[in-house]
Amino acid sequence: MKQAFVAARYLVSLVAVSVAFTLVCFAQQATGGQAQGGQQAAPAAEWPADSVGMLVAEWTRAKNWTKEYLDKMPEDGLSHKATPEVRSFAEQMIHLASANFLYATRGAGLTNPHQGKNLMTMDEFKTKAGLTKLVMESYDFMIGGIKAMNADKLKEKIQGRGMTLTREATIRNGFEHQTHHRGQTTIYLRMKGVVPPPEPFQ
Amino acid sequence: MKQSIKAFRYFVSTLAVSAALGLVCFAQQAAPKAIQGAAATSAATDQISVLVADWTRARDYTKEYLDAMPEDGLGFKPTPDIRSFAEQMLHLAAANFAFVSTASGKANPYQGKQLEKMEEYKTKAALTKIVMESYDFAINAAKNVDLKKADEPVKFFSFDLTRGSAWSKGFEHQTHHRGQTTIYLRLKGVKPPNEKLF
Repeated sequence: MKQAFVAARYLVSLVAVSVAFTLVCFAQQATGGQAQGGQQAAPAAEWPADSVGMLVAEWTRAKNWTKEYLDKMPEDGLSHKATPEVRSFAEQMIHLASANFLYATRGAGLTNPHQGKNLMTMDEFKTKAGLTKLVMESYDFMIGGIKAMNADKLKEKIQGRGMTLTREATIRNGFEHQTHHRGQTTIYLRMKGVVPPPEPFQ
Repeated sequence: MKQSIKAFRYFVSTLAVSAALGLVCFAQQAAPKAIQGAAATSAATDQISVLVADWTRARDYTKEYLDAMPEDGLGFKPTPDIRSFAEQMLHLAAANFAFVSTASGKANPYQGKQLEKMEEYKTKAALTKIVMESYDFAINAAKNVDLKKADEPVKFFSFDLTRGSAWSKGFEHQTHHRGQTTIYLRLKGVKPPNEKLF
């Protein structure tokens, strides 16, 4: 009987230790879970912290920069082509605007206000005033579309041109596109004897 | 003795249950950490891989421009008061080094040198080499970007940027200047490379 007693005491103490272990273990798990939840609320390794704000700032700067190009080109320079086989200054700008509408439509999930129209052939965009209005409208459409999204929506993956990109990456591709074409028109201005606007990289 | 054996069997089975509980518990604790770690790494890797992919695409696109321009077009200027094709490319390369150095904190290997003015880069081979080197400097730095520092303010000449915005503006800058050289190619009768937006 004495041995049984000893065994029972061992048993009780083991159960106690086991319960204690389990309690500690669950407590640690609960704490771990909270810490994990806390990290999800404030992701540190994402940039920029304000992705919507940064895109809005970049597109606003791009809009103002392109506006300076339009302002600097004299009315008679709209049809200027560097060589006969390339787009005229106006056609470059219409191409840039059409693409802005398309990228915003896809990237921000909007409806293209000029869907089905061939902007390139329309007479109303062949004056400086009409052209400027259209190009500015395309930037405002993009900026409005970005402002209507939040950081999570920008991270959504969408299909386009046979590949999967985030909305943010699609909008950045659109940004690259307008930079590329505005860049080309720098030389059109030079060839018309106009000093192009300085680069606003702030 | 029989009771003692019985007690010993209780003892062993309790130990086993305890050990099993302990194992399950540690496994549960370890699992969420592993998942959490994997998720954080994959988000970070995604942003870094986009940055690396963009700069690699930009390098390949610019390489096509350099390949397309004949040797005798390097000194070509559409108008006398602007940069030649080679000077545009050297300006682009110098700015790649400068923007990326600011963005990443890595020392600019050409600090203090006026690449645009250096005659040694005005052959197609040497020009291509330094321009590609500037993109490789960017791509290597991009691979090791510390995303936690991306919102840190940095000075780029007189501009107030963040490390992250120095990356984007550097990218924009090379797009802008390569874009200009499209017309140089056209004026030399060369059909420029197709746009490489993806």
